[in-house]
Amino acid sequence: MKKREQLILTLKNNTQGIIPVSMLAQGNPNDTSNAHTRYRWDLTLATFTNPVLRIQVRGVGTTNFTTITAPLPVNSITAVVAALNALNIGAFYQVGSNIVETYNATLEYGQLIVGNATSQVDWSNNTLIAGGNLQIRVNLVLTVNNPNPGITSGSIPDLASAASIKVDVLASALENTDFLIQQVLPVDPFTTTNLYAVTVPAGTPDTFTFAINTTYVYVVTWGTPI
Amino acid sequence: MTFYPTISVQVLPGLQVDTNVLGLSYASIIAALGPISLLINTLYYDAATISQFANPIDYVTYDSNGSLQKQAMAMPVNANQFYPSMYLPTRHRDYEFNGQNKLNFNLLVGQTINFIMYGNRINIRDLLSALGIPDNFEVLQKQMGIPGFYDDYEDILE
Repeated sequence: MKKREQLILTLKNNTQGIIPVSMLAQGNPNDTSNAHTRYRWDLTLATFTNPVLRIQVRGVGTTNFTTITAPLPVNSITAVVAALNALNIGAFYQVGSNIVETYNATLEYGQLIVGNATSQVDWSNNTLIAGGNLQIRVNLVLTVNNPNPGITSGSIPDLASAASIKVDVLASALENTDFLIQQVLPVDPFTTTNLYAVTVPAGTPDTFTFAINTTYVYVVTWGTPI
Repeated sequence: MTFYPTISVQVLPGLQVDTNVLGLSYASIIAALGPISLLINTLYYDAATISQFANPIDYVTYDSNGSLQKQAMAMPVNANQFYPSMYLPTRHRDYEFNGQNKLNFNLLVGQTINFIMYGNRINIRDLLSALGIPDNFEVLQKQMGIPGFYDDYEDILE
């Protein structure tokens, strides 16, 4: 039996970028309609030394990221956006000259690696990020290549030349949140092992120290909850 | 180089999709597709600007081999057109939304667009009669000798 239907849809772009819309299909990973969680990467410092990009993605509620690799035939931010959109893991768009953004309610994104993954200690994301009145994540992501063989000791500022990770949990906001350290073999595809996962106890400051090995990349994340 | 996302929850969604029916969300419509299909035979489309209106809209389907097929919807813009809207009969080529087919296009910054789709809603079992397979409800009614006994039940199914 057929029934006459009238369907009215109103679409509005609330962003500062051109959104690639994909609509009216089920289970469509590129349909980001009505998602409120925004992911923004600032690629101002990007250098295109290797024609490839990698991005971490996982389903909401899962622990481990999967790293997906895509070719990057042209060295530009526009090409990064195009390469990401070819992966069927969301709808990415460019804002201004150097910002890549997306919204998603079913997938979560992590690191975006453009070109080679170089030794890097990045504390810039060790901030409390809030949108509206809702705190969604206290996030520290730290990636480092350990170039030296063997195991030595060191603290966080010395990570580039040391072989251990020492994390001082100072912010009381991190109490009772999950803390995860992952050991990643930087080959394609990435092999990720959860090295340590713990819920930060009350009564900060607290300290965790981990031994690390050469040739691996370590990713330290804490949040609410991972 | 490695870049880390700044994550935030925005008050408004990046891509806001609303329907005309109170309480009916876009997600509800999507969830219902599959058991029912929407066959769109007339489409009204308006945008805020001609530049948005001139953007192609791709109708993406799967062929019998399971491969994606893409065709641009027939939306020519008149060179003398100054108001970005169009009322478009699909002319013997219904656009079917069965949960797999989709519309792809770019939505420009700050744009609001409206789709009004007119068409028919069909159940999967409607295809049985089209394929020459007996409708079991009809068979049962004939055996019971009570025509129309399941008519109300059909409505419940839909």
